[in-house]
Amino acid sequence: MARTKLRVNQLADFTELKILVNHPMENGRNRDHNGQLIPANFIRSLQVFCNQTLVATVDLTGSVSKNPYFVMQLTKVQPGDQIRVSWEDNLGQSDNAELTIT
Amino acid sequence: MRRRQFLVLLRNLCLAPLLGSKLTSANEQFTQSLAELLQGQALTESAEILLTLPDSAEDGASVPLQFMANLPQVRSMRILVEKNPTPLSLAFFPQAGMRPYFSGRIKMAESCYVWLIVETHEGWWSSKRWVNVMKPGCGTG
Repeated sequence: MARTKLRVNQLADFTELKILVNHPMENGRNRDHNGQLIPANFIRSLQVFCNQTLVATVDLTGSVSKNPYFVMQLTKVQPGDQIRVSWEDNLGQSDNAELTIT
Repeated sequence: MRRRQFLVLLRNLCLAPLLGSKLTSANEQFTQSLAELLQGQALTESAEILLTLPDSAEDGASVPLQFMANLPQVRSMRILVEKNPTPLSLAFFPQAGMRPYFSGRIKMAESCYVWLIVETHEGWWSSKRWVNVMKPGCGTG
C-alpha cells in the first residue's frame, strides 16, 4: 500500500515537487461515534532529499489537515537526479517514496 | 531578561484562575508559543514575506495556505494559528536546493489571525492574515 505519492513538474526556474501522504493526522482531541477519544496519530517529521542530500525538513503537528498535500519548489534539479521523501509519525510508523527526474 | 521572565511568570500565576475561559487560554497559548520561539529576540513585520490564505474558509478542517519569502538565507518558516489549542502548526526548514516556498493545508478551530514567522540570519520577520472560518475544524489543533 503506497501511502506516499510524489510528482514533479519541471518549470522554467525551478522544479515543482508535489507530495501527497495518506495519513489521518489525528490530533487526539476528536471523538469517535461512541464518544471515545481517538488517539493522536500525526506525522511529526518529513524530509526531502535530492541525491541523498537533505534539501528540506518539515515539522508537522496534528493541526495539519488529514491526507497532507504539500507543494515545494526545488532548484537545480537535473534529469537523472533522485528525489526521496520520507516521513515518520508519532506512533513510529514511517514511509518513503522515491522518484527519478526524467 | 531575568526581570521579564519573572514578570511573565507573575502574570501567568495571576491569570491562572482565569484560564477557564477558552478565549483567554487560546490566546495565552499563542503568546507563549511565540515567546518560546523568539527567546526575547525582536520580531519585525515584513512585506518581503508573503502569506496567502483565503479571506474566508468554508471548512476549518482544511484551509489551504501558501507562503514564501523574498529574503536571503531563510532558516525556518513557521505557521502559527492564533486560536488553535496548539498554535504552532508546521515548521518548514529549507536547505540549499530548496526555495523558501511552501504550500499545504491546515486546520483552524475558529476565525482568527494566521501568522507566518520567518527566521533569517538577520532576525525574525512576521506577516499575518485574518481568516474567517465558516465551519470550525472539529477537535482542531
